[in-house]
Amino acid sequence: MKTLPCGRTTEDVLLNLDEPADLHELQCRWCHAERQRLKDQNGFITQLLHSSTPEHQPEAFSQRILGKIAEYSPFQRMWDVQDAGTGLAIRVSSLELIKAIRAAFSESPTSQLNYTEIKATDTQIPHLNWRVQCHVSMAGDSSVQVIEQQVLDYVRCAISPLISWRELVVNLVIEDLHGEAIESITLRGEN
Amino acid sequence: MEPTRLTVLVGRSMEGDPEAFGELVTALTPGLRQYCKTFFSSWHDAEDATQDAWIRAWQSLGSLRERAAFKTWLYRMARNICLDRIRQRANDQQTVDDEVLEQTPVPDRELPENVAVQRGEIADAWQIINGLPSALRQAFVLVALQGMSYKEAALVTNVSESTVRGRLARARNAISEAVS
Ligand SMILES: [Zn+2]
Repeated sequence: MKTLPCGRTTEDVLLNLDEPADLHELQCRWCHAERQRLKDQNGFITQLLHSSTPEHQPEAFSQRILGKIAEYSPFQRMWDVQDAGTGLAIRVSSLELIKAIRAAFSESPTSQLNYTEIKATDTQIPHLNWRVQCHVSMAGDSSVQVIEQQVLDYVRCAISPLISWRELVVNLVIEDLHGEAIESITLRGEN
Repeated sequence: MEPTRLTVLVGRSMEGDPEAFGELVTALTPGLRQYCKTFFSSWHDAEDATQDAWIRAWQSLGSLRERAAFKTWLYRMARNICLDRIRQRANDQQTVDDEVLEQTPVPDRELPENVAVQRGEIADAWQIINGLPSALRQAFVLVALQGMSYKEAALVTNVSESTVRGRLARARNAISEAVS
């Protein structure tokens, strides 16, 4: 490691390279020059690493992975329910119900559905009582009060054409953009 | 990829939607593949490990506790796969410690201590970083190349943030001495 005329070393500058320069560095021409040199070299090498990374076909690779994971389909819970239209006893998977909930959220200008889970909470057949977990992030100009009512409506509209139900509990978790929970609320509906 | 998009794709993948998972694979593979390359001299090996990491990720999604931490979770899984493979190849009955492995350069040790090269002469920059111990290479690729935060890189490599900072500084110093 090189020692600069001001007494600091290359290492001192390197340790804070991703941070803004401190007061000494701002006023010291040697440190300033060293930072520039290191940044420049760093930029040069990272650019070169990207350009010497061999070509890769992301779509083809992804298709290959999808082919492989098809053997390990995740276990989907099946539910005995009553068809809302015909009244007949049928079975639906969690994923079918989730897809309907996602479709209801898809046009929402105020909220984005990050993750959802659904399960029956009663032991009778057909199941009539449901608990839905909805993790949602909301648009900056919206509010929890607005979202609350909407989320319950979306879930109700999503499942009502598919299954007969009596009680609905929605655990609404409001999240930030990265999916970190901020607030959670329990909503209830009855049919 | 936008964080909001990533959050939704991770959520949908956890719900069991392979299409969403495919989008994650397409978006995150280029970076993951570069990270895996820090463990091997050949791109073929890196790609193989990347593929295994994705398959294991799909199988283990149910155990992901924090959706927001998906990326570091995925990279950690890839790191374990790479270390296991190196261990298998070492074909050693003794357990090889992670710490020891990470001090080891990949087999085709080239640079940087020995020769300094002119910028124009560099054909493959990966040859330059291959001369660094694996731990330094990992820190460099995660933070300097892929823009991960020190905190994320620390989570991936299972060390403290200050260790990442130190390793990155050493990597940058070695590289800067290797390239004139
Ligand atoms: Zn100075």
